[in-house]
Amino acid sequence: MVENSFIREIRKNWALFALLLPAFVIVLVNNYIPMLGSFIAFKDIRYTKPGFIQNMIASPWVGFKNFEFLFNSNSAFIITRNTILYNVLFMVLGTVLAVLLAILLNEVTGKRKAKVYQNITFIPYFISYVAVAYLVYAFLSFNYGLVNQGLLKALGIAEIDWYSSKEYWPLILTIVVMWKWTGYNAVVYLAGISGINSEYFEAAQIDGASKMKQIRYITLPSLAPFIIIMNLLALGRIFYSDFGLFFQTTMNIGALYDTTLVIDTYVYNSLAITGELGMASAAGFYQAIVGLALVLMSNFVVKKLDRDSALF
Amino acid sequence: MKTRIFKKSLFLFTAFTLSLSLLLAGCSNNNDSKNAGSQASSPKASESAPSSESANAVPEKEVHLDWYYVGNKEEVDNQLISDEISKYTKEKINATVQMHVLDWGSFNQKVEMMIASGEKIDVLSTGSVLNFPQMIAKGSLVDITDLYDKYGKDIQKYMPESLIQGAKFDGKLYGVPFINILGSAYGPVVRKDLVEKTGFDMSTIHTWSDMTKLWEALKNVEPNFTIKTSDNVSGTVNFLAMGYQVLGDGPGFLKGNDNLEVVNPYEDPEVLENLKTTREWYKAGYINKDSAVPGFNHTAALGENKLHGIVGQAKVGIESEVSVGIGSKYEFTKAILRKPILDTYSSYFVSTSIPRTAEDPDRSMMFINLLMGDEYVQNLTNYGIEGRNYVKLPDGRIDFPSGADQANLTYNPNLTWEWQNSYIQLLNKSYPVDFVDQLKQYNDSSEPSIALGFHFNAEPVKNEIAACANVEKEYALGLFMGAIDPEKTIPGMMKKFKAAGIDKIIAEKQKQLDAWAAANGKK
Amino acid sequence: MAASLRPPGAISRKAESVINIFFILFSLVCILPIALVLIISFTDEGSIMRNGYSFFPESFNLNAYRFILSDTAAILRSYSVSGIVTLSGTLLGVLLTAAYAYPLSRNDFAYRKFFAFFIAFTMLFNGGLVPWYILYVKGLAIKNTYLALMLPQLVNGFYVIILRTFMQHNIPKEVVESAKLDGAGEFRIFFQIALRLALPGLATVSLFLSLSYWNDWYNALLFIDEKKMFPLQYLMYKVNASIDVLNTSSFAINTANNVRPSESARMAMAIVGIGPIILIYPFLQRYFVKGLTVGAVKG
Repeated sequence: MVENSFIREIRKNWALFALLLPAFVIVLVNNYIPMLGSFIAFKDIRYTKPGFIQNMIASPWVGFKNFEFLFNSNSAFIITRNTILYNVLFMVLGTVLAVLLAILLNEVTGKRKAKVYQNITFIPYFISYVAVAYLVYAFLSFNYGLVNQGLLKALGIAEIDWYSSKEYWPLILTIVVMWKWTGYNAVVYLAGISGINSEYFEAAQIDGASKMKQIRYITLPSLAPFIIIMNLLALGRIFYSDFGLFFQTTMNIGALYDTTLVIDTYVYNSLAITGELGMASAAGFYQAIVGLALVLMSNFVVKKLDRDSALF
Repeated sequence: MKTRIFKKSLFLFTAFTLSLSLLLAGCSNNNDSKNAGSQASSPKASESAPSSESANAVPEKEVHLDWYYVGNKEEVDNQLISDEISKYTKEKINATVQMHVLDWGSFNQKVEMMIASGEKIDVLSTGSVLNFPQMIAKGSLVDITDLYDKYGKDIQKYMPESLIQGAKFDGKLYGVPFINILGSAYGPVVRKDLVEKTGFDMSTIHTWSDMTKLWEALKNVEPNFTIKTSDNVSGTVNFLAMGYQVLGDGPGFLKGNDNLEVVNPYEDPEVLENLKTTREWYKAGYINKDSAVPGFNHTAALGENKLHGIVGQAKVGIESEVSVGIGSKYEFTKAILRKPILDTYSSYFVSTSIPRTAEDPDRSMMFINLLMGDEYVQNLTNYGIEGRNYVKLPDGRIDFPSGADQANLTYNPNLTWEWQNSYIQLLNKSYPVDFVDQLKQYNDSSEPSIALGFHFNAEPVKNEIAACANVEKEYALGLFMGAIDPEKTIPGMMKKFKAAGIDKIIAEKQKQLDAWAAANGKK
Repeated sequence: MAASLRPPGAISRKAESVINIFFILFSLVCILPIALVLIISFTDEGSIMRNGYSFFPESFNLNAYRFILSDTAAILRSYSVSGIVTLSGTLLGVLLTAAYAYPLSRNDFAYRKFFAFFIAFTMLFNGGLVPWYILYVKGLAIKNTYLALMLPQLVNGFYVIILRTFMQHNIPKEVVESAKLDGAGEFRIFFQIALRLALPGLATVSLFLSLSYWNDWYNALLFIDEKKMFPLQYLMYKVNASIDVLNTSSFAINTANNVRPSESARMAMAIVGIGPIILIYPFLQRYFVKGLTVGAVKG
């Protein structure tokens, strides 16, 4: 039965199959073959045999023991809370800012000016997190920083020890992320806007629709599929976090952990001590399963609302 | 309609994954049989060596050795030096050598993957740069007890017996330890000119709180005076300075050197007193507030008269090292809070090992013997070629060739510690001429730890250790630089430690230590 | 008078100036920190310690650049490695991505959900580093090849899904159907119609792909040992690692005559690392600026 309809489809759409075949094979090899190794999350690896595969088979099963470090401590709550809250915040704020930026860029009169603005907003993306970390340090260093020495002193406010005051870091990290990524994220939406059939706008103008109305009834609905898909994808990565951001920018300072420790940095710290392959793998497994469940659920909801916008 | 297609899709998906696993199983077998020959023999390599072969004879079959170590950067002359080593080793042990330098950030991960995948590594730097006990537990390294006896003759001439004793795991040796200090001393290292100005006698400092007088005196002569008291990661260095000893991974230390009780220093009233003292230092402005941030460039701060001392390691020669680090702008002096103790960790702390993926462990050991026992190879690998990379001064010390600076040095790996034999290594001109005598004196003052040779197997409590590491990192920095009030902080921290399973770790450590003591006839 | 010259779809004067002011401020926020990066890269480290960070440091020098660029030949070589990988990886990657995304965007393709799931799943789940590493080193044996630098990012689920979404909305069904009626084959429709209509999407994916190729150092860390094949970012990563250790390790003592720069060197690295890739955005921009200010241009 299965074969029949599958073969019929191949007959009918063989060219489409041919088109996706090369990328399919690459993904199969590059992404799917290594997945078979993910059961080391449930193993305690020992090197007793010559090859990795044999070692993996020969090593003892340990059930969920490699996962325990993710749950058995008081950090579990903090890292889960921080990871999810930051991701939700970055998703919402990031989308709003990027869409806003794209729409405003679209409204700039004068092509050259628009191009210049666009280029400038994109530049922060190029600064790596290593440099970002030192840039933030240049602003926030206690004795040498621009904020303490330049701003607060001039205003007569007491200097702040930023690197041991955890309450400021949600704000600092959000500013860094928005600074670095808004220009980049806006590109997808810019491309989306440029794909809108210009006849819609012309018709709206003839009907005397205001600019605001055009944005509301033409631009935003056209961007909706992009907004949905970008956020669906982000949802799948809700348990992952930008390691560079949380590790480099905070300089991995323990005193800030309450508001800055996320799953990825927690795993890094833990494994720096114990360096266990199985535990690293277990953490990845956990992150993926949660992401998968969320995506499947939200994809189901999206499908009910708008079939075409669903991920799959 | 829709669901049917999706179900079919799911079926296809599963089918693909299944066929993939078959495919992979097939391909892996091929790979492994290729490597089996070279690897199967590794764990008991010494037995497979023909017994008739004398240790001194040059072997007949030529072998190529891949030597991996951790370094600061790839030197321009690395290939040239590799070739020079090979010329020498070809003649001595019929082997050629290729150096491979890996950077600090990725060393651990890369080595782990190379060993997991069976890539060839013949000689490898191990010890504290990797998780040595764990590598041994996993079977990543070759037992070299017999190989060392057989081929390590030139190293044995210099090797203190206590070092080998400490480095052995259950009577088996997995790495050749570096020949330098026997454990580290701890204490403050401060600007010599300022101390001289105050007329303060450094030898009056013996305890943590003794340092208060020194800071007060220094603050009087230098109003901007600040120090750095924390290493940003954990309290370990500070605990050592307060007279503790480490006992393998994770929490649980020995206090002093006369009993085998595993304790948590954070519960010690003396430590609390010291932390309160530290808090006072912070309030008095002695502690540099920027020193908390890992990005703080303390070298530059020392050089610019913004930081004037560091509490930490106070081993022999530390004054020269700090001074050289800032371009010899200022000189330094030190006081000793805790005398050197040779504990297990310090004995394997820097080691050179043979991984299980080595092609011919016998030959690897012969090379290690030359590396650490032969004056020519030791100095060639440390400093390069005489005349080209360094010049000898009349007093026997060495210097860079004239006109050399950072930008045009072609071989300056700065790794003199990594496969070090201090007794045959040439001395850089920044060290005092009599450094070797000072070192001997220092080592004579070092005491072997009461638990020397005890290795903690962290496996049963690795989850708890991981959890505790995060707790400690959250508080240690603030406590040891005095930024937070210890009396208010410690109860909450202890609660988190308990939740993370600190008691289980300490109990496990105590259990293993007691078993070890019983087996080794300790009290 | 002037108003009559304005295109009919354009916004009002007042709104225009508000938007301009917004962008000038926004640009400053983007640019000032970058300027600081540039300034620190030229700043004498001692002067930071004496006076703190500043937009107007008391003394400048080129130590950081001298330190980073000390091996000029290596830098130039790594620029060319990065250039080759970025260029060929991007071209090939865009083609593969488009060829996979197009069938997914076609409503009459019955297995599009399966193939979409197949690709999306790779974004959610991976097998971890070690199995992947072993596949590359042992299974495919591509250590120390350009392929090892290109393959990991060649087909990325994220880009496929974005492009698919783009194609769903920008390639009208009617166009495909009428082309079919005219006797055009699927390949011709794909190459001559679909790719052209999806141009802004292709430009977006090209931009993302080329940036991720250019900025990648991790694959080189895993798979490249040979010095002559180090891409630029990996070379920069190594410089950074060597600065880190000089600052933090008690082992690494600096025995040479002068002290290495650290803050300024990190900033200089950031500047050197950007390199010519900064021009990629202005270059690709024309493809999505085409539709930009649509009202204004159309008038």
